[in-house]
Amino acid sequence: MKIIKPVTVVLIAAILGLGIWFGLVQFNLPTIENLIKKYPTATADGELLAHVENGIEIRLSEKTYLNDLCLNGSVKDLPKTVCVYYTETAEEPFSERKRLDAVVTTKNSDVLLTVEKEAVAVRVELPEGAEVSSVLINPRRPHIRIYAVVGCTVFAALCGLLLSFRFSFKAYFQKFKRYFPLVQNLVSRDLKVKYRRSVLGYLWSVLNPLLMARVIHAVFSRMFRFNIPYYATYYLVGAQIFNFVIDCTSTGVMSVIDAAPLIKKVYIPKYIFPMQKCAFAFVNMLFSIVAVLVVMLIQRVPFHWTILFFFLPMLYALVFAYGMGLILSSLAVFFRDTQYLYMVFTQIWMYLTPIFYPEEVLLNSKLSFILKINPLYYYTHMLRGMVINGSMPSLNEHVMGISFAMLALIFGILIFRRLQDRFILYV
Amino acid sequence: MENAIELHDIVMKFHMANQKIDSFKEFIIKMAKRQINFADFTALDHVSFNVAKGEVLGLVGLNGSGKSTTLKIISGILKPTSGKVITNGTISPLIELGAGFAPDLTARENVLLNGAVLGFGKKEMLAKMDEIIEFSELDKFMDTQIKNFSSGMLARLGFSIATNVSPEILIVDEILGVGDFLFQQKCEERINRMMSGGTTVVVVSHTIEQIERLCDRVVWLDHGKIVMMGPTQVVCDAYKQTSRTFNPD
Repeated sequence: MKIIKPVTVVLIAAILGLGIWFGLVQFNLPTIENLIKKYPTATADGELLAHVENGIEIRLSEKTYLNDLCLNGSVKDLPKTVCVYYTETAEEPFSERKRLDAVVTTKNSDVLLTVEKEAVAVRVELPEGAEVSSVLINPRRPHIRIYAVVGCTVFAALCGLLLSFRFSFKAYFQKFKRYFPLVQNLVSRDLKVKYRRSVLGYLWSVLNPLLMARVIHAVFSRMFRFNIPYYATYYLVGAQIFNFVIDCTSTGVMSVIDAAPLIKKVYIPKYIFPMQKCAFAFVNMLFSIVAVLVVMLIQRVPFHWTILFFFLPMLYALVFAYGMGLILSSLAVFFRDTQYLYMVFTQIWMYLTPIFYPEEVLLNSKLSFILKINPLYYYTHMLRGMVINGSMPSLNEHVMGISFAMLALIFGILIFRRLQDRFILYV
Repeated sequence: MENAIELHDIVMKFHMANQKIDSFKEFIIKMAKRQINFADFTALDHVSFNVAKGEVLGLVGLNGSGKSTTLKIISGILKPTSGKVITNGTISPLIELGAGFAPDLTARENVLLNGAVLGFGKKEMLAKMDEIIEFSELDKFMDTQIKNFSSGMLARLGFSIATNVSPEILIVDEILGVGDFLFQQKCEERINRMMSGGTTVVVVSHTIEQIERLCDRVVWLDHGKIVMMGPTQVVCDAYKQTSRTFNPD
């Protein structure tokens, strides 16, 4: 390991400081105590809370982030989720467009509803006979600060580490520009070779996911009776992202080894090879977007403008997959077992990511922590939200998604750089 | 005069693992038993020399003297264990012709691919396409998949790509034995023309006459060390002398 110069230490410290400042100050939301003072508990005799037909209504003086609502009173036998309407302006009436199913958790005698929305007014539908004496409004954004701090500091620390390798970005970029045509050429070679001599050619990239969706739909919605709206779309959107990442990484594992004849004869920056695999998988994924659109049309999924942001989770997934590809391909050069171990790992990964089963299966089980540390959950969840529910991902999801992607990328670069000079001796 | 290539005190060591380890299990077991020991093999031992712009440098030496390693270090394929390499200009290595040819693609597509491997874009390659086809004399076969090519055809295509991209530094390792004697003559002419056009060339060859004919200066390597470096005639004579003592025939 290179000796880190004092200058770099200062730099790392500066970036770290900036990260922490950004995490703590920029996201410095008022503490819960302050907020409770500002927004007093809504009580039944106050102005904020009113009993209405089949439920309660709360009106706040200004738009507030509602993490959860704690209901006190005689509220019993609530279903697992209750229907909550919310409005973002005071004048707006409650409507079906702004409605959500809030998850109910019961703690001792309190009933907690998870809302996680910004709202001025809320209407909660409750079963008949439910009396609410007071509602505690919890406006704290869940864990945002911790996510932000962790995300920023990890990112900053690794950036610092990267900077400690003194390299000129300009020279790097020029080299990349020079070898970029190679990526294009290799991708077009792979495409030509993949569908050579097949009658339908590129159409298979669309047909394949379509047929898969049909099969999975037949198997799971009939046999297991998952109650997921637009199941085929749900499956296909999740599978898009998941298969893309697996495609990048599992072909990426062998990318450097397979390029052995090339790198033994000519100098080529070696990061080109995992990059080429990712680019190829990305092109394939773009093809199969057509398949998603077809399934959406068949299932009559309503159009949401949020679908236009589909590229965001794909981009995060791309960065994440490339980072993974860098790590795996460099390890595989020294230990060929990497590829087999990774194959087993992808199997496990598939079952731990809600692709063909509802997300609630894991969310409501003891394994819910797995979802929190599974980057693919964030990416699939984001895209599904955009395509099916018309909801933009929350800031949390963005922070987590980007953090995972950057972590993978930065670790990938560090490991790859450290090992790449010795590749040639082992491939 | 500016140098095209500078080698400063290059040392290249290879680990020769007693057994090749390439699984996690073996690695951990061997690690626990402390059985991982390497024997170092020094392929190049403190080698330094410069090549001026436009110069033609020959490398001679017996097998295993480190000629090919030197070429690989110059072209950046190998990173030296210690020492510094400075190169000015685009390099086209003729170490093995047609690196990265894809057998399933046509010759025309392979020209683009091979060009990209050498770091040249599509536009540049398309502009040079006609010249490449003409030189390789393969115009009838340009739209054939190259898996159907003979080795001679492949070598011709590879040679004409590598020399047509007009590199500033050309690295040649024993490839002037390409194709029939007519094509060989053509290759030598091409290299001569490039040399007079100011291209820096580094040549490795066992055919000492070829070296004498082409080079301005010669470096003689033996077991990773420079034995002699200087004008072609002086070094070649000394080299031939010792070779004779090794090999009385």
